[in-house]
Amino acid sequence: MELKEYMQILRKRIWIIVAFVAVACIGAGVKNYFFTVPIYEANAKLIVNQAYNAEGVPSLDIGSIQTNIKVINSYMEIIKSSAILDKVAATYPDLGMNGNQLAQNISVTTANESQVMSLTATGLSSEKAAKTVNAVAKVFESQIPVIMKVDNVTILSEAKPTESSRPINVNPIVNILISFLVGLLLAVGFVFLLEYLDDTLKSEDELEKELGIPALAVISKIKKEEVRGSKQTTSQKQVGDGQYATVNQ
Amino acid sequence: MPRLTNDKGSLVTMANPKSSSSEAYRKLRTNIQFSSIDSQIQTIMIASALSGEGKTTTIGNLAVTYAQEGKKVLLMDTDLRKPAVHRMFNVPNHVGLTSVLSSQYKVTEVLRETDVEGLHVLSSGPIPPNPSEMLGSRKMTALLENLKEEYDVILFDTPPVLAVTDALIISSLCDGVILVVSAGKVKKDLVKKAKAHLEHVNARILGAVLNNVQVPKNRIADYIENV
Repeated sequence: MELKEYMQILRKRIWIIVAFVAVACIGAGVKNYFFTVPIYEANAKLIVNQAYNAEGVPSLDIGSIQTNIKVINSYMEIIKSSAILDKVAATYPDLGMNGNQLAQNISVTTANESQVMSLTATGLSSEKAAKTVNAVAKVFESQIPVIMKVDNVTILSEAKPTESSRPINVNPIVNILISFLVGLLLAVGFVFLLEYLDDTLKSEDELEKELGIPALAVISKIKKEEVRGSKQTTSQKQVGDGQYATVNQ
Repeated sequence: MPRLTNDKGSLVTMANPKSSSSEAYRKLRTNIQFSSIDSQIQTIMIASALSGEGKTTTIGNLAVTYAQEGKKVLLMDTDLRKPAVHRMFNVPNHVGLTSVLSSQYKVTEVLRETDVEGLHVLSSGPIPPNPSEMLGSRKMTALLENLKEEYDVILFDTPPVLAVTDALIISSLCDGVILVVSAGKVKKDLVKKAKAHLEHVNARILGAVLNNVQVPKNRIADYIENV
């Protein structure tokens, strides 16, 4: 098998490949535009920083920073605990979510060795996502002094409803591109499978090899224009006997 | 059941002798002659595993090329179940081979001339209830002996090998058998089976014809057509 033969196999069943790819792309497009509930994301950043030490003098020493970084891990847990989220649900009834639902919709991450926590919420609209994340951030900020007996969380940036105006899960270009590639891959595989399963005689070499008899002639499909040459029009039905051949005996 | 394909008009050798397809049939004729240097090949039958592989078209065009070479050719339709030769050459078929075998007519009364000089056709005649017995009869053998004296080449169109035994019966009366294979249509196993059937009855298979090959028009074909 040479590359040329592979190309020929593909060219022979090009319509299968085209159909596969078209169906995959259209399917992806339809799913994207009609069957996907768009989900929006918004995020806020919180910084954990001991603003003042015991004497009320601003401090920024390595020791306290390390402590803050250590404490972030606890804060990430706390922010997702019911202590905070139930309070959020109670304070902002217009979100229409209870503590558990909130827990599913928010996630907290932190860059390694930094004092910044990133809080992300998802929602069915960008406003709602932003509202949710801001509500959680505010409640967390106000609750930390109560829980930890230390006031060291400040909101660094709030989510703005407009900045995340594009849904995170609707990405038609990428999706259609992926389905195009997958469709192409499947189609090519399918075509080769068909070729492999096709156990008919197709070529002169094959015929001679399989049957062990010489191929006397290879006749291509007779095209219409070849026969058009000087075709007699025999539309009239002959009645009675045609011409008889005489044999000299 | 009528055939879906229209046999009339597939005689490319008659309509357009310069075309590349006609050239392919001439090549077939030449190769048959070369395949038997020691023995004279006078009676040739066409065979295929299944129906619709192009037996009638091939044997019809081969008959025309033989006639164009100046030979006296007889094309016999021994497909007594679904005869097609008469339609291809546009001759009537209310009498034919079966009328001769059942002693209703003399062979001289049912032989037909065609539009091709030197090519005569013996159509199948009315479809009998017992085709195999008719073809295997002594009368058939005797008839063939007579015809051999009159014609340089006698060609037979037959039913598919795997369908009925008729083709095998005819093969025992022939000097050579050509197996037609329709490219990409028949499974290898079936073609092998057909070949085995023929070999089993000691038929002499001259070779095969690969039919209905789809090839892009190449420059050689163009050259031949424009000579």
